[in-house]
Amino acid sequence: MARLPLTMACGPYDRMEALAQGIVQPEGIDLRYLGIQSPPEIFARMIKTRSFDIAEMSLAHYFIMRARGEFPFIAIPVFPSRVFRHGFIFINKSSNIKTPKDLEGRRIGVQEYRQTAGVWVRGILQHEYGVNLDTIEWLEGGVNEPRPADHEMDLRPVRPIKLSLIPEDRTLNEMLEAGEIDAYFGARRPVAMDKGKNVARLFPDYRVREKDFYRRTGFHPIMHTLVIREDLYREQPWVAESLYKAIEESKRWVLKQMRFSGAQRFMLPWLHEEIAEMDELMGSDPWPYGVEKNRRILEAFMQYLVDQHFIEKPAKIDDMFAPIINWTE
Amino acid sequence: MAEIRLTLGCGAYDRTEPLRDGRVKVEGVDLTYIPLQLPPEIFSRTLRGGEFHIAEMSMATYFTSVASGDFPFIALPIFPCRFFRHGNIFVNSKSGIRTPKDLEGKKIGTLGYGQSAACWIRGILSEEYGVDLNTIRWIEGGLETAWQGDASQHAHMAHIKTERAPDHASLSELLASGELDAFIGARRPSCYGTAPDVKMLFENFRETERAYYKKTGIFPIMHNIVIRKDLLEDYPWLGTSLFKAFEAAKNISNRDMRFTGTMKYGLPWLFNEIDEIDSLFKGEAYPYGLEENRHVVETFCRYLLEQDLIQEKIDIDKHFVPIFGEK
Repeated sequence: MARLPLTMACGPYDRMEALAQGIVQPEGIDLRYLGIQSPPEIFARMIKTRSFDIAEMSLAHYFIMRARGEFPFIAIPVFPSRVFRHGFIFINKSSNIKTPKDLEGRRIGVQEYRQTAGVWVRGILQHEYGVNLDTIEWLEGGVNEPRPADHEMDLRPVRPIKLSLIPEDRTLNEMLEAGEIDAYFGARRPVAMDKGKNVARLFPDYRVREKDFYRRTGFHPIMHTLVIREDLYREQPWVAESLYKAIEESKRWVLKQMRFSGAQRFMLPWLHEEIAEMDELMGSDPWPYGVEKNRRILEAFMQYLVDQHFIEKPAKIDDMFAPIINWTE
Repeated sequence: MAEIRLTLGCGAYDRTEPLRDGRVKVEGVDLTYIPLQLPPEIFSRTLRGGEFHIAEMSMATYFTSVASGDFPFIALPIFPCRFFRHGNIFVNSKSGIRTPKDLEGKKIGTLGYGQSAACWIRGILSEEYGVDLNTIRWIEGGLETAWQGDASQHAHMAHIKTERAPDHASLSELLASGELDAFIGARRPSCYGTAPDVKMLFENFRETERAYYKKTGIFPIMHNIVIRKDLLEDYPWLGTSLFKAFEAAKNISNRDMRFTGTMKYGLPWLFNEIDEIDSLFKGEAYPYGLEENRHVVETFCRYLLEQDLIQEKIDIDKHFVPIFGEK
């Protein structure tokens, strides 16, 4: 029987390992899995050159473009990357920033204003700490390496905000260390946090804060989803469900594997304590897939995009994802 | 180019993943990596079946085997599995055990007296806490099922007085009911967390283990890698080539899990965990190489001697393939 050959680009994640290795096979699909570490590389290759049939995708980029009605990809409700972000807000120690409100009126660096991590941090600052985002001056650029502007990838809000680019030969990391910006937040950690002298976290107790945030909101912030070429999906609508089932099974496989107590699967001496803490906080499925299990977090994120002027009004969550039956009996 | 075809039986660890998926190649070797989760299965299939050319091996089994005579395998200074074990001592609180010294004179269950985890725990109890091991009654059995042990594996330990658990009961059941006072070993018994009287001896084991590492520099080694000696006679270059490949694979995994753009492993505080590891271990928790691990291996061999698992002091240099070249 001929199976449909498809190529998928996604990070080399533990939760995708069974899929990548062929231990789990999506029904009817002969899958070639490209494990690419850099998410921006995957996003750019998918968007600019349609390099893949299936790809990991920035949730912010996807929601913005899909809500604007100009994106030839459709998501399935799979979320391969989630990261708590309270620990990714970095300040210059001399900037006299003590509390989130002190960020108002400051110069803050971001890798891309539309980066999902940045949308989350701004949403948390606004909704949890009452920070007025409109007072902030944003500076966009590379974090640890210089990064030229990319007009196809760098989505802009529909209303004007105070946003400028840093010089192409500079990095946010060196500007933060030198005090030329007051703070930086985003998906990457600035090198100066470990190797410099002048950079600290806004929340040194971020782990406690993130757990508290999860307990109150139920949000384990989604960074990425997974998209399929829409023309492929129109022709072969069954591929969405096949992929969803296999990806769910792949996740369950590794959740079980990592709990094997006879040896540590990962190079973390206290791996099993880490798992016990995760289980206690998040229950049996710390990485839930599917729209229903994620409806509240997806709606909150959509609202952040409205608050931050990327879209005029929230799109319906159900319109954002290929429907999944997820039959169980 | 003709490569030699070799099979490796080893756990599916992150530190060996680039060897499994082919990103790292062993010079001159076409390697078939058979990932097996259960270490005792690998050991048994290697020792009894001779199924693999290269295999993960219990370090206790390795040294007791080489000490007892001709052994067809020799070790490479690659240590894929290490564990702190202070958190693997479980007690029934009705036994009155509050401190390590209270273990003296008690009945303690183990999956096998010669298990690496048990050897480490006994050594630590004796050396760090002054526990007189000779006063203890050792009960061997199955953890969650009745005894399924392999007596042949322990034939050379006939002089050690251990007792067998009753045929009908698992060690976990015996610990829950108080028929055992304590249990030590590589696995966590299911009665922990369900039976109200079963506790850890060190409930704050993570802090205890960190303090132990700071004091001793030891992150206990459970397993090493072995290779068939006849292969090294035919291909003397093989040891160093394998070592380099394992080292390269580990370096890739160490780097990849530190990529902060996304989290390779589905653990919400992965980076927090890595920061802690880096500050404690200075960036490398799993060093390979004999020199880097000499004090750990020597300590372990001393424990084997003290615990009657071997009869004479072992010269560890004789039992590792020498590795040449730059790391």
